[in-house]
Amino acid sequence: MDNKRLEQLFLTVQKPGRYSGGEMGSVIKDKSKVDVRFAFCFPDTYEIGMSHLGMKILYGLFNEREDIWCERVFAPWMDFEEVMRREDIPLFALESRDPISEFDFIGFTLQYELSYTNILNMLDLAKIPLRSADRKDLTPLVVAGGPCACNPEPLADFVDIFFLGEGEEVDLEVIDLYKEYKAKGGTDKQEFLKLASKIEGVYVPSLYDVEYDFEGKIISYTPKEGAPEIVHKRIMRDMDKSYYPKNFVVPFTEIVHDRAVMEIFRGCIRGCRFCQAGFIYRPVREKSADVINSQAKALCDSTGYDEMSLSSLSTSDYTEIEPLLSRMIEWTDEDKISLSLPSLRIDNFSPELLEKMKMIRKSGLTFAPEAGTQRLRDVINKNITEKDIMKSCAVAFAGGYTAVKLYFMIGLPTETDEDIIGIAKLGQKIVDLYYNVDGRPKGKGVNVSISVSTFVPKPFTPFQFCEQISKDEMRRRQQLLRDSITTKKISLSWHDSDTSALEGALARGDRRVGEVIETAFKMGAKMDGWGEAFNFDLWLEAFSKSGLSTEFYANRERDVNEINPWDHLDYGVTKAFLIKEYSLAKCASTTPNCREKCAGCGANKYGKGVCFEKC
Amino acid sequence: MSHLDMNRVMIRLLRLSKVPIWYTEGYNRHPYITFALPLSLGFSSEYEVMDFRLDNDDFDIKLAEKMIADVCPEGIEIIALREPVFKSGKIAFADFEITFFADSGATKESLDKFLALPEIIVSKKTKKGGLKEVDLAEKIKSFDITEAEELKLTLRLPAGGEDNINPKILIDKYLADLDCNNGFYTVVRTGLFLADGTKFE
Repeated sequence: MDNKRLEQLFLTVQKPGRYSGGEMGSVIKDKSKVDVRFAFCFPDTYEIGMSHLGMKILYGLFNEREDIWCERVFAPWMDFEEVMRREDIPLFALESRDPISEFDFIGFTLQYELSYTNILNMLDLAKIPLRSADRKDLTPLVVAGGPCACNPEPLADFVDIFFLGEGEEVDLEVIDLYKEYKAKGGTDKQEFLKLASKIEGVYVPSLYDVEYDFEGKIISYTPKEGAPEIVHKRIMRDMDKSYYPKNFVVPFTEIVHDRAVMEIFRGCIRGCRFCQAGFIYRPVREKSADVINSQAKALCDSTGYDEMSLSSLSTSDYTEIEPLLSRMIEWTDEDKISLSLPSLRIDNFSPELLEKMKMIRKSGLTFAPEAGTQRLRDVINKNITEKDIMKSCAVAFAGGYTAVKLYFMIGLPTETDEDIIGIAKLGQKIVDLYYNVDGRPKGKGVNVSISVSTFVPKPFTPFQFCEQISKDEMRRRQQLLRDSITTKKISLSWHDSDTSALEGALARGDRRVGEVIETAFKMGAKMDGWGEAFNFDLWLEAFSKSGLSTEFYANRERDVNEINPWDHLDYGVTKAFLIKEYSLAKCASTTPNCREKCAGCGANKYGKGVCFEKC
Repeated sequence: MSHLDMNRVMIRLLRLSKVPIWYTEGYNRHPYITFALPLSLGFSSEYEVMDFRLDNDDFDIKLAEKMIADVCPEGIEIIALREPVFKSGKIAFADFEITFFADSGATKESLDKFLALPEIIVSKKTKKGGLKEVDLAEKIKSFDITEAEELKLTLRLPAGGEDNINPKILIDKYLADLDCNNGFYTVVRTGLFLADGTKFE
C-alpha cells in the first residue's frame, strides 16, 4: 500500500502517532545493504512498548552493526487492527513499513503473561502461521526473550528459539550463526535450530520431549538431537563495558515513560521472596558512577529530554547513590533537567537523600511495605520494620510532603485476616503520624493512598511452589480490607483480580497451555492486560476445551519434588536454595540481603557482581 | 502529529539546539512557546508561526536560526527567525491546498457545482459544546480549482479567534453529498493572513 493512502488510514483511528513512525532517533537503512533484518516486536501498544528500556538497548545495539537492520513493531490497538484486516494491510515495521513476514527474525519481548494472545494476533496479522511446526521455511524465525522467557513453555509451540537471560550477547551470536549458515547456502530450519541450540542461553523447545503422568504432572523432559539437558541463562558480566544506547527513539506522541532512562545496576540484593525479578536477574552488577554520569549526559544531550530517571530494581541500594547524585545535579541543574528516582526503599531513605531529591523535583513519594504485619513481611523477606516505615514517612512529612502512596499485596502465602486488617491499621498509623510531626506543612491535610494488587506466584521464586488464592477468596479479602478502612484520608485502589487469576495460570503453565492460548485467541482474546478487552469467562472456556483448568496451574500447592515446566532451565539460583527459602518463609524466618551475608543461592557461579564485592 | 505533540517536539528541538531560551520562573521551569494558530491533526503546513523568548537579548538571531535549523529533522524546516511583527490575534484568514486522491470520488465538475451553491449549511460545534448551523458558502473568501495530475482545491477561509473554519468540514460535506464519505484527501495549510490580506509574520 502506498504511504499516502496508509497515512490517511492512520488518520481514521485514535492516536495515529502509534503507527506513523519517523520519530527522531529512529534508524533508517538501505534494506539492500543489510544481511539481516530483525523485527523487534513488543506485544502491547506503542505507548507501553516505547517506554521499555530493554527494547531501546537492543535496538541501539543491533543497529550499530552495519549488517543488521532492527525495526520496531507494536501491537495495533483494536481500531487500527480492524482497518488492517479490512484493507488487507499485513503487520508492518514502523521504520520501513515493510511486512514483517519478509524479515529474517521476528523477535518478541515477553514482559507480561497477559500479552501472549497479542503475540499470536501479531503473527496472524503478519500472515505467518502461528505454530513453529507449520512454518517450514528457514525464515522468518520467531524468537523471544525477556523475563517471562524463564517459563517459556506456554509459548513453546509458537516460538522457534527462546533467549534466556540478558540478550546483548546471545542475540548477536544467533544472528551471526544465521548469517554464517545462510552464507554457506543453508536453508534447513531444523538443521539451523539444532546448531543454535548449542549456543549457551538458547532454548529450542521443539528439541525437547515432555512426558506427563495421569494427573498432568510432568514426568520428564528429554532433549533430542544433542540439545543440552539444562539450558543456562546468559548475563552481562561487566556492566561498565556493556553497550548502552547513546540515543533513544524519541516519540512525537505521549508515551507512558516519556523521558531519558539511565540504568544503574541489574539485579537486587534484597531477595524478597515474591519477586521474580529479584531472583532471575542475579547477581547484582553495578555500573560505576563515572560511567553512569557520562552515559546519562550523552543521552540527555542527544535526545533533548528534560527529564531523566535512574532505573534499577532498588535505586537507593546503589552503593554510591549520593556521590552519583551530587555529580549529576551539577549538570542536570544547569541544563534544567529534572531527575527522578523510582524504586527507593523505606529503610535506607535518608534525610540527605531527601535533601537531594528536593533539589531535583518534588514528585509523589511511594513506598512498598507489601504486607500489613511484621510477621507477614518476614514471611516474604521484605526486611523492613514498621519503625522504618514510620521513620521514612516522618522524614517525608517534615520535608513538606503531604501525600504518600503505599503498595501492598493480598493473597501472600500464610496470610490471615489479621494481616489484611494490618494494612488498614498501618495506613491509619501513618495518618496519625502526620498530625504529630513537627514541621509538617501547616494547614494541609494528609493523603495516604493504598494500592493493592493480588499476589501471583512466579517461577524461580521461593513461592513457585505456592497455591495462589482463588478468585472468591481474593474478593472476600478485598472486601475485608475495604471494611477495615474508616477514614477518608486513606484512599484505596485495586488491581483487578480476574487478570491476576489468569496471570497465575499462565505464569506457571506447561506446554499444554499453548493450545489454550491459541483457542482463546481464536475465540477473540487479545489485549488481555487491558480491562476493556479482558474476558475471563472466555479463557475459562478455552481451558476447559483443552481439558485443563486454571486451578491445576495456579491454585494448588506443588510438592517441592514435582518437576516444574521450567526446571530444565538454569537462571543461577538453584532449586535447593528456593526450597530452603520456602521453608524459612513458612516459619517467618528472614534471610539477610546479599551485601550482609551470602545466602548461597548459586548465582556466585558467574564470578562477578555483588558476590565478589568484598574480595 | 497533534498540536501538543508538535509543541513537545519544538521544545526538544530548542533544547537540542542549545540556543539560550527563556524558561518560566515557576517551580517547574519549562520553556515557553506558543504557536500563533495551532494546526489540526493530520494537516501539513508550509507556513507556521511560533513564538518563544531568548534568555539573552544580545544573542545573535542569525546564529540562533542556524543552530535550530541544524537540529531539525526531515519534515521540519526553519523559514526564518525574527522579532514578531504582528500579534497572533490579528490573524483573520488562512490558505489551504486540498489534494484529492484519484479514487476519492471527487471530480472537477461536482466540485465546481458544489462551491457555486448559494448556501452550504453544516452543523458546527461551538466552543460551549453545542451545535450551530453555519453557511459555509458565505465564509469562503476565495477558491481555485486545478486539475493537472491530481484534482486540487485552494481555499481561503476565516481563521483565528474571531471566526475559524476548518476546511475539513467543507470537504467532508462535499464528499458526503456525493455519497463518498470515505474519500481520501490531504490538506496543506499554505499561509496565514491579516484581515487586509497582508501575510502574517
